[in-house]
Amino acid sequence: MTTTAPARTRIKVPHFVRGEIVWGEDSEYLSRDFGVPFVTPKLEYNGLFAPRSEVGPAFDVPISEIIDFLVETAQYLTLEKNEYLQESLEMTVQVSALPRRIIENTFARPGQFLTRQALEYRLERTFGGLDVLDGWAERTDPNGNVSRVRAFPPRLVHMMAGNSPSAAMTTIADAALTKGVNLFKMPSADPFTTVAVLRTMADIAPGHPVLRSMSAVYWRGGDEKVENILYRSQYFDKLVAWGGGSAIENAARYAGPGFQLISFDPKVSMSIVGREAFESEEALREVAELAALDATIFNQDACLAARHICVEGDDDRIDRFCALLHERLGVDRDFAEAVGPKPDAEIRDAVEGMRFLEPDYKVWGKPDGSGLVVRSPEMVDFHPTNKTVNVLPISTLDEAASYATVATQTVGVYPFHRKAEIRDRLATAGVQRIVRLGSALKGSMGSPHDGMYPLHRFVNWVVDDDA
Amino acid sequence: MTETTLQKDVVATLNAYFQERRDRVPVLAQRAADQGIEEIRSREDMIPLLFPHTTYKSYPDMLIAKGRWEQMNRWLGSLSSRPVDDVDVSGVADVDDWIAALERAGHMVSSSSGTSGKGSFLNKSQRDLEVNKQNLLDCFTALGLPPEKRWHVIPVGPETGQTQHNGVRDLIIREFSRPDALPLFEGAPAEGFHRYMAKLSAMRRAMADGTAAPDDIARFEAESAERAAQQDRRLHHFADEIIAHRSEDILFSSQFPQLFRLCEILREKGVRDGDITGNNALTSGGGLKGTNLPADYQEQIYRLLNIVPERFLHYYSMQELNNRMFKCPEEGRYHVPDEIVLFVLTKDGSALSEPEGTIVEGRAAFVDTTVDGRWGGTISGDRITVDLGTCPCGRPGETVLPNIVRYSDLGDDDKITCAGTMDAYVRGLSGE
Repeated sequence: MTTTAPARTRIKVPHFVRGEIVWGEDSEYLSRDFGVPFVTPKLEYNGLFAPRSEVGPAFDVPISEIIDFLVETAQYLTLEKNEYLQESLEMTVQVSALPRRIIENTFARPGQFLTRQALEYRLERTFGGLDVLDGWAERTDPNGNVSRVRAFPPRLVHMMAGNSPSAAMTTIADAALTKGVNLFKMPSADPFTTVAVLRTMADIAPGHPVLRSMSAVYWRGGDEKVENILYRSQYFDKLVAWGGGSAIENAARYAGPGFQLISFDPKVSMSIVGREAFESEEALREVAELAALDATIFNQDACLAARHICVEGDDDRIDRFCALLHERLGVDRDFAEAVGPKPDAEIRDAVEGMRFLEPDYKVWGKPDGSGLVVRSPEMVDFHPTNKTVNVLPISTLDEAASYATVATQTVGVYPFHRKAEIRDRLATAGVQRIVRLGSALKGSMGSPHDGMYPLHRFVNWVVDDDA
Repeated sequence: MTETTLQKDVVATLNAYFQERRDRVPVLAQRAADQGIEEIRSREDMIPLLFPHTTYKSYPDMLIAKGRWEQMNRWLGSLSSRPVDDVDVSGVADVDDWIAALERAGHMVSSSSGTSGKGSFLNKSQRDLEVNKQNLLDCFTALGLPPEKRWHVIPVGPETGQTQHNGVRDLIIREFSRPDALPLFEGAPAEGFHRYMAKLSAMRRAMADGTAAPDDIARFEAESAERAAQQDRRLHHFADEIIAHRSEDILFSSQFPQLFRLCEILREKGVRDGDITGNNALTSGGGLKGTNLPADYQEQIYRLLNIVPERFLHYYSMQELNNRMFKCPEEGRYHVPDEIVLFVLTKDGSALSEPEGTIVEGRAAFVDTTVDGRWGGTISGDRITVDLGTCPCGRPGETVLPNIVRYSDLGDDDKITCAGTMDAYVRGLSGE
C-alpha cells in the first residue's frame, strides 16, 4: 500500500499457442524476484493442445528431420543476430537478480549444445538407437516370440524453472525430440525466453508440426483455477517439474493414476578437497580458485553451485585455504559478480554469533555480498547462499560422504584421481554426479541427469506383441 | 506539543537508551562499531542497530545437540547486558538444565520455538519480568477489568513450564481468582519443554542428514502423541469444569489455537452457542502461530464462550518486548505505549517505509526502552499497517491495525528454483 515502487511500465508477455503467437493484456502478474508487473493474454484452454482423440502433429515426423530443425534453430540463436533474444534479454534484465553482464553471457549462444552429432549421441545413449523413436522396432525373445516396441510420443506438461535461456532451449529440444504434445508452463523468473526461442523456430519453419505440438503460456504457479482444470490424465501423461518451491509442491498434488510426476528435485552441491591441496602454495591457490569457481555459479543461486567444502587436513592449513578461498570468492567471473546480493539476515546473524565462538568456528569476510567463508566443526544449520561457503574439516576423505545426502546433486573432488576412492560411498548416500573440482558447470554429452535418463522417462513405452 | 518536538523527544529517548546499552551488549557494540554509529541523531540511525528476531536463535544447533554449554554461554553472553560466561554449567545434561543453571544466576532466559524446533533464547532480568507482569495488570485496568478476586481463572495455555509463562499464569490466578475457584488440572505439569524442543530440532537434522533410524522416528512420534494427548486431557478437564460453572464468570488466558481446540471439545460434549452464560473474559496475545483455523475462528470462540470486546484483553506483543500493545475495544486497534518506539520498515528491514497520508505499511520493528537483560531493539517477522494519526477511540498513540500477518505465512508467489534446501526432503515433524 504505502511502500510504492516507482511506476514501471508493465512488460507485455506473449503466449505461444501451437505455432501461433498470441498477444494480450488480460491478466497481470508479478515476476519472481522483484515483483515487476507483466501482462499476458487470457488463457484459452481448448486451443492449448491436441486432444487424445487425435494423433499428435509431430508423432510421425522422422527424428532426423527434427534434429535438422533444432540444429538450424541453433544457428539463429545468437544474441547479436536474434531480435527476439535481444528483446527477451532486455525484459530479463528488468526482472532478474543477476546483473546485465552475466545475463548477456547466458544469452550469448543458448543453443550451442545443439549439434547433430551431440543430439544423435545423446539419443543413442538414452534409447540404444534411434529406431524406437521413429517407429515400431521389432525384436524376438528367447522363446521365439516377436514383438514391436516404440518410444511413443508422450503428452507432457513442463513446469519450467527459468534459470537460464539454455534451460529453456533444453526443454524445447527435449520436447521436440520425443515428438509428443507439450504444454510449457513458463516460470515467473523468466516468462519471456521460451516464447523467444519458439518464435525463432516459427520464422524458420512456419507451421512446422513440432511447433504445432507446443504451447508456452504463463499462469501463476499453484493457481488452482488453472491447474485443477489442466492437470488431468485425460489431457496429459506426465508432469515434468524442474526444481522445487511451493509451485511444484502444489502441482505434485495432482499426480495420480495416469498422471505421473517426473521430478528434477531441488538440490544442493558440495566439494571435497584432499590433503594433496597442501603440497605447495601454488597447488593451494589453484585449488582455492577451482573451489571458488564452483561455489559462485550464478552467485550461488544454482543447484550445482557448491555450498559446503570438506577439506582433509589440520585446522591451521585449512584456515590458510579458507583465507585464499575468501579472496577468490570476491572476483568477477562469467557467471558471478565480485560483489553480489548480500546474504540474508539469517546468515548475517549466524555469522555475527560465530565471531564469539572462535576458535571452534571462524569466519572470513563480511556479509556484504563479496563472499563469506565459515569454518565449523559440523555443518552449519543455515542454508549457505549468496556466495557463502561452509568449510568442514575432515581427517580422511571418507568422512566427507557423511555430509552427502539425498539432496546432494554434484560433488566436485580434488585431486581428480581420488573421485574413484569415494564415488561408491557418495552414490550410496544419494549423490548423482561426481565431477572434478572446478568443473561443476561442465559436462559430457549423453549423461544421465538427476539419477535418470530424462528422455527415457518422458516417452511412453508401448508394445505391439505377437506372442 | 508540535510533531517536531515529539520527534526530537523520541530521538533523544532512543539515543539515551543506546548510550546506556551499547557497551554492555557485545553484539550491539560490534554492530555500532561496524556501522560507525556513535550517537542516534535520527530514527534512521537506529535501523542498522535493530536485531532481527532470528538473532536470538543464531547459535549453531550442534552446540545444543552436543551439549557444549560453555559455548552456549558465550553465545548468549554476546546478546546479554550482563556477562554469562561465569555461569557454572558443570553437571548440565540438557537444555532444561542449562536454563535452570542460568536462572539460578539471575539470567531469566525466555525461549520459544518455531515449527522447526530450533529455540530462541532471550536473556531477561528480574526487572524485565516485573515490568512485563505489571504491564499486564495495567492493561487489564485500562480495559476496565482491574484486578478483583471474583473470577474462575482458566489458564488454557499452552502450558510450557517456562518460568516467565508460569509467572504470568500465577499472577493472573493470584490477582483475579475467587477463593472457591474451579480446580486447575492436576495432571503432571509440562516439564522438559526445552528438552523436547531440542529433541525435535535434533530429530529434524538427523532426518535431513539421513542418520535417523525408523525406530528413532517411531519413538519420537509416540512421545509427540503422548504430549498432545496430555494437553487434550487438560482441555477435557477444563471443558467439564466450564460446563459445571456455565453461568459463573470465567477469565480465560489462552493462545487462539488452544482456545479453539477447547471450544471443539466443548462442542463434542454437546455445548451449543448460548449455553454458556457467565460474563466471561479472555486475555490473549498473538495470532495463529502458523496453524490453520477457519476464517471465523474468533467469532466461533466468542459466541460459544460468551466473550465480548469489553471483556477481552487482546494485545499485540512478542517475547522480545516487555510491554504490550493493548487493543481498544471500540476500534479494535492496538495502541503503542510510550515505552515502545515503533518503526515500520520496508519488507527487507533496511529502511523506513514511506507513509501514505497517516497510514504506513511494512515490517514491524520496535525499541522497548524498558528492556534490561538485553538490547531492546528488535525487527519482527510481522507485516503491519499503522495509523500515525489519532485513534477515534480517543486514547493516545499510534495504532497498529488488526490486519497483522507474518511475512512467512504470506507464501512466495510462484517461486521455482533448482537450488534446494534440506527442508524439502524432511516430511512430518513439527513443534507444539
